[in-house]
Amino acid sequence: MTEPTRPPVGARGPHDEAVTEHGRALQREIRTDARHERRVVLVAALVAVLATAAVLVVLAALR
Amino acid sequence: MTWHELLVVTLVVLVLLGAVPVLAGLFQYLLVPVHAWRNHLDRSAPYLPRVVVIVPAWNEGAVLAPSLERLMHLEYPPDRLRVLVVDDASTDDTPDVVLAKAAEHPGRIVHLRREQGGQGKAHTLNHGIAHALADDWMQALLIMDADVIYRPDSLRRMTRHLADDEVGAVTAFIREGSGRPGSVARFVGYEYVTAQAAARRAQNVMGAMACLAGGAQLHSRANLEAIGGRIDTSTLAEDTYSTFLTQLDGRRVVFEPAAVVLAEEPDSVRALWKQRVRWARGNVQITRTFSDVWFRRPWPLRRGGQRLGSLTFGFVWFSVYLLPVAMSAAAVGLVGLWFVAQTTALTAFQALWWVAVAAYVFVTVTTLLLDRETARRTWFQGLTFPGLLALVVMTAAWFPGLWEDRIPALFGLRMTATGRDVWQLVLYAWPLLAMLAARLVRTVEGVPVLRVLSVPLLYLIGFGPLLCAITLDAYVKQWRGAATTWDKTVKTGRVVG
Repeated sequence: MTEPTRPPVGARGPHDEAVTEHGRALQREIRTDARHERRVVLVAALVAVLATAAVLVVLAALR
Repeated sequence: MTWHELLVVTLVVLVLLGAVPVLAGLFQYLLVPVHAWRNHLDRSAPYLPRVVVIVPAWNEGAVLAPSLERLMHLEYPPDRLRVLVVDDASTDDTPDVVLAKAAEHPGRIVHLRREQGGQGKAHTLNHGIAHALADDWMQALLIMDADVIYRPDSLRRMTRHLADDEVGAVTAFIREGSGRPGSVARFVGYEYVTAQAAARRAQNVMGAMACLAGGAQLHSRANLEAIGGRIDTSTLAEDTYSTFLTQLDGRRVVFEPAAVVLAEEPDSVRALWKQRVRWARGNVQITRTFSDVWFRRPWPLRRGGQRLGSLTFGFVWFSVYLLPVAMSAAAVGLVGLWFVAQTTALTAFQALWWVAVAAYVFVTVTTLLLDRETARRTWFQGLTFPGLLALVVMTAAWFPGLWEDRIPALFGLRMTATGRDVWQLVLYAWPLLAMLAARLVRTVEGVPVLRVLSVPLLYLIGFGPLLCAITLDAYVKQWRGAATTWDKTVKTGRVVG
């Protein structure tokens, strides 16, 4: 069994996970998740702001 | 200042107190987009430590087999994963289920039996933790519930954060995953997106986590040993206790939203009530136990207390903790103002509910977009979360005279002066009345001939007020010193993942 070691923070260098093909795939997954996270939270916030503004404007107009 | 003016100011302050939880909720939601940059992924790295999974089990024969099977099929190196099922003196077929799975996966699943059980989850966990710490194989410990289903990629998405040795523990997103959920389970599913996917992202941004989800607590070995090598048994919120100890000892707790764990949640008001009273009483105990933490920045008593002791985290914690008090204060303030200063009462009422309308739209849209998989199942519960009657109150605040004049006029009716007064008082007192009415939902559900009315009533009164009522009940039980017994939430194996 290979001995897993804790890699340096933000590591791209030679440690047991990063040097393997699987390790590189995990690194790509981290970058993909970071992009996905940015997209999800920013889109949600933007749409929520627009929806809130639209509802308030409509309600004010109907008042 | 005259006595009358002083009374008016006091009552206005009470109304403003009612706005605090709404503003705290909005504050957390405004932090969610910041998670685009402050999410700890930049400090994570490929890391697959040797993990021991502890599964506490008391009469879990109906749900254990699929949970264990899914653990065996995690996308994680098989030689780095061991499962310890701690059987808490089960009287059903739990031992047979575990032994059959252990035979299927030799060396990877271990059955540990406690001959004297029933002391609660923490005691059961400690039995397994002592076993796991007995040798140096384990590098990280995952605590889960017997019924939860881990998505194949969830564990490796959690362990990558432990690559940063400043991180002591990681938690995942628990998603309600019943195959055919009823209304209560759907409400819980929506609530979990607000309380986890949204609130825990905000807590990542604040750098202070309120709680590791009970079904997904990943600790590094170093952290586990630093917090005493055992789980606290003195409170009903052992997961929150560990979360606080970890942070007070100087290590971070991280929420990973991409690690999804499916769980079966209560699908009746009575089962939910039992579960949440336990949680809320646990929070009362935590608030007291860590009384030296709150609002202590910049004078932390312990190394990692800075973030837990920050103003923002205290604001968020106490706005949830004191939610029933704030709701009651708003109602008392508005009704009081109605008697002594009607114009001020109307202005305060409108201001409070206008803020509520804005928060409702912003929070609902954000929640539905944060987890679209849950949104497809729970969008209606999201829209009706505050209750259909609360939506009536919102319209009454926006459109004065709508319910007193315009709608009755459509039917050729006119509201009497007394009717107007009663209507106005009901609107003003609604935050308190909703909590009282929520108790009715529980009562109705317990009467066989009336049970069919409980779900429509729940939609009318709202899930939010129901949670407030449960919290209030927990405070009363805690204040009376009711016995703190561990009431297990019964699971039936409805999770589909």
